[in-house]
Amino acid sequence: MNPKSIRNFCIIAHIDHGKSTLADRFLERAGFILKNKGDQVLDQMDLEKERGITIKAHPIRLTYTARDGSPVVFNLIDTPGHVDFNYEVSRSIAACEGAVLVVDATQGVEAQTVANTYLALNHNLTIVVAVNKIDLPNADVDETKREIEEIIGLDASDAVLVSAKTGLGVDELLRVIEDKVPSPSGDAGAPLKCLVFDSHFDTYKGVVVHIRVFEGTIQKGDHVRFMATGTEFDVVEVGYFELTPLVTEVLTAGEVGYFAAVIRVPAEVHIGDTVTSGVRPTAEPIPGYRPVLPMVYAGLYPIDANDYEGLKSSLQRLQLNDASLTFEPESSGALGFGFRCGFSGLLHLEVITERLRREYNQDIIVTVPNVRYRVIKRNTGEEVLADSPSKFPPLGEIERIEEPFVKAEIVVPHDAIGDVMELTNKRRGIYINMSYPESRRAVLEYELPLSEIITDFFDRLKSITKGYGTLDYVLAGYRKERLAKVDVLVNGTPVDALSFIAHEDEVQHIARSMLQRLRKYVPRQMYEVALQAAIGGKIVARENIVQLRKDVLAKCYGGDVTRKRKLLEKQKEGKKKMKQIGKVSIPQEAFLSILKRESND
Amino acid sequence: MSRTTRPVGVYIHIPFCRRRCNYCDFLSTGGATGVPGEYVDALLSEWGLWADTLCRQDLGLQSIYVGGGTPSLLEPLQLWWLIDGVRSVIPTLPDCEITMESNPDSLDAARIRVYADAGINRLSVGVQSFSDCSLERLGRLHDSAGAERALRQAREVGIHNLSLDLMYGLPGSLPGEEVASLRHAIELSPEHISWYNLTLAAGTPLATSVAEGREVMPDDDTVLATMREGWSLLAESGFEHYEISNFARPGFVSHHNLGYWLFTDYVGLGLGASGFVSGRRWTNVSDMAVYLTAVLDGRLPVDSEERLEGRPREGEYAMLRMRLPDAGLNFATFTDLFQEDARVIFRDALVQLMDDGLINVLEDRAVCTQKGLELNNLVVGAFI
Repeated sequence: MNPKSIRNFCIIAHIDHGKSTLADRFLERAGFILKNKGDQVLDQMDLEKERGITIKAHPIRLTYTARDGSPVVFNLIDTPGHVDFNYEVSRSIAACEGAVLVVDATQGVEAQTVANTYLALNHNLTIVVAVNKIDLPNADVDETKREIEEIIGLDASDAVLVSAKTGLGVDELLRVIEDKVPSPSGDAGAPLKCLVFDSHFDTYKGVVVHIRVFEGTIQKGDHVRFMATGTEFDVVEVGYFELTPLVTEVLTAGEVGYFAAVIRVPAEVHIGDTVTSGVRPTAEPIPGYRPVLPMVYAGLYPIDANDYEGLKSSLQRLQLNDASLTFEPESSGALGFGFRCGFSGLLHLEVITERLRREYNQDIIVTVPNVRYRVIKRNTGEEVLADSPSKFPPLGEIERIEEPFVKAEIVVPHDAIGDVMELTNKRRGIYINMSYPESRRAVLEYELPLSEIITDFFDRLKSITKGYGTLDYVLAGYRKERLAKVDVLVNGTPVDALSFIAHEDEVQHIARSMLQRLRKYVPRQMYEVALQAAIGGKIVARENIVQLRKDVLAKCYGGDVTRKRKLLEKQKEGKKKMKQIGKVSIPQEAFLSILKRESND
Repeated sequence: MSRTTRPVGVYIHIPFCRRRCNYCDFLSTGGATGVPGEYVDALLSEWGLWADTLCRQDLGLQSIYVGGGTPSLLEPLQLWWLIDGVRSVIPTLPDCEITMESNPDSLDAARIRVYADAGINRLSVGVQSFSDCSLERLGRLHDSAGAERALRQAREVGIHNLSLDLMYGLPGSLPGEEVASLRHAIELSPEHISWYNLTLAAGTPLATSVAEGREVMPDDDTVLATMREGWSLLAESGFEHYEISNFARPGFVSHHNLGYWLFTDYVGLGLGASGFVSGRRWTNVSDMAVYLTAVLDGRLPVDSEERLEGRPREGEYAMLRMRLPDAGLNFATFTDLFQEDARVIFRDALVQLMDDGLINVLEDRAVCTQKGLELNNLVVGAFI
């Protein structure tokens, strides 16, 4: 295909600012008939809709007629929108030459938009500004334009005014994209060089790799190599996406599409990797590749031991479309057999566990998430990589504990610098540098323990900066810290699934707050129940659940019988879902309650 | 009456009150001065819908219970129609117990006399407390003197089976006050006392007051101490503790209420009333217009029903029997009813409960220990 007729772009918009609706209008203009009105095509998973985040990117090819009558091809590449998926966003952006910035004229510029626009500018994308929802009575176009200029620093004088809902201005927007977004450059005769920006798993084709071709061509029968992993495959199919995948002969420089090569193991395809020819490889891979490493680990256990195999196959199926999910079998004295799973962040963990519950009907317990620690043993100097508290050697054998640190770049409005610094100090941050790329915004560089980032750091940052703060981080190695493994005992019995790692200065505080939360969820029993937190043999916190002394229904006459029986049946069902620790029943909520720190922690 | 005659009870619901008490979540409308004639007609029509089915069975009327709401809002003639109507369909067993619930504020000697003439032989009086302060807090319309007067008049008129309803665990009670109320009740020598722990029901004004911090419910330990003291006092005073909240002098247990816990059949008439006949449980609709329309159209005004079989039915039976401190779960009766041995099918539950000290398993029955009564929900839950 002649690259002159191609425009590769993405849409940057805050949740509810109309990205999906606008995409629907684009699809209609390209002649697609959308079956269910209101059903937005690009966001596929229910969970995404509910949380207003896009998890999986989905490229789509739209063909229009240019003003000179020739066909023009738009490749719309969707972008996920959360810090846990920051890297994926950057790869989607790297596949484009342009971005449409959509701002809701009734809401103005929101923080998420700012972060992603900067990401796009860093990749030298041409930004087309669109002000949306101008049909609404409370739309304030001038103020919105002013905000775009003030907050983002983009020229908004030629912003396109649209209503994605009514279709007003959409044709003009398409023309502006055609005019302003550069067509891709790149030599079709050069060795193959394409960027992997996503993938999905197909039962028959194996991993379907979503690519942007930068140089060369790719077609069926080609022998290709993934440059980061070094693995090689023979291409069996190339194509592009409309509403469904369409097979084509060849993809040439500038095009967006996919290829399949009978890749059965999704983990072999890494987002951001460069695909080149195995016969005539390109010299340099596309810059910006980062291996996606699990950052957070947690145990996932079936409530009912009989569901172990079911959980395993559910995880396997999830992993097909989510290479950043890892898992291996582990066992717990309290919870039986389950899996130690690795996630890219806490949100990723939540998304996976929710999908297991909803889509796969798995009743699961999630243990306290943690990072992977490095424990150096006394005398032998042996190194243990522990992604679970249960892998920690006994206290007496530990020489020192090291934890992963990240190099974090935090971009904040200048008036929030003080509060953000206070937050980073609280989270054991080490100040590296501060710079002002422009007057209203500061870039703070810190080294922070990963464990502090994975809890609610991002939420706190957002709240302190009223949404404008952004966070990007890369792993920066291990540092020795004063850490301790804390065991939780229920009536003297350690519950391995509740063990956690904490900084020594915070142990007391965290342990107490955790036991207090646990206490709220463990129903009172016939006996007093002691909840204790201990380091080695030393108790550091204790809470009691007082004994249940009176539990009796005063009235049970004719009309009360059925209600009472049903209530008891429900309680029995509820109890089945609890875990028995000795004589104590612990409900799932108790395990969930300790997942997140309270905001004042 | 042959040996195969099955006893049956009839419950009649009168969902009207002068004023709703602020703790009450029963189905009733406040602001009433009497019971509308059309409702009484509807009750009789609903009974008429049952007549055919019931006539064909060998049944004997064991009890009638007129509950509410405030049944003493019924005009004596209305009550007479109801009792007479019910009795005209099923042969009445000897000693048929006919109870009416009443509030002291709507009773007087003349009224009680005509109620008795209509067939009422057991009067249950909603006293709730002998503390005027508590009565006011609960939103009751009478004071303790009014309660005493009503009881005295009932006696004078010749009601030989009197029951008092009292509550404990009330918000704002002074220490010892509730047991003193109970002692006061015992001194009036009723045949029967229902002594209830007040249950805070969602949606009631009292629940709102508690949620908003205007009222404070006593803690479990306080209530438990009161409960223990009251139970001892009742036992010392010659009352048999035959159900968790019910106490009777020998020979005066409520046959109607006991029927609920022994799986006796009963027909429920009226708005929101429940019934249990031949293993089928049902509950009537709770919307007055829907109720009246259904009955006028000749349809039973049933809202929901279920027929339990097998283990759930056996479990429900055990759940009810384990509310009876002395009678408990009788193994022979259980076998007669279900052709199974309770000791076999509930083996695990019985062993666990015994280990936990909640029940004793005797030669012929399983009964709750004191702890098993205090934690009765744990006991009954084990059978479900």
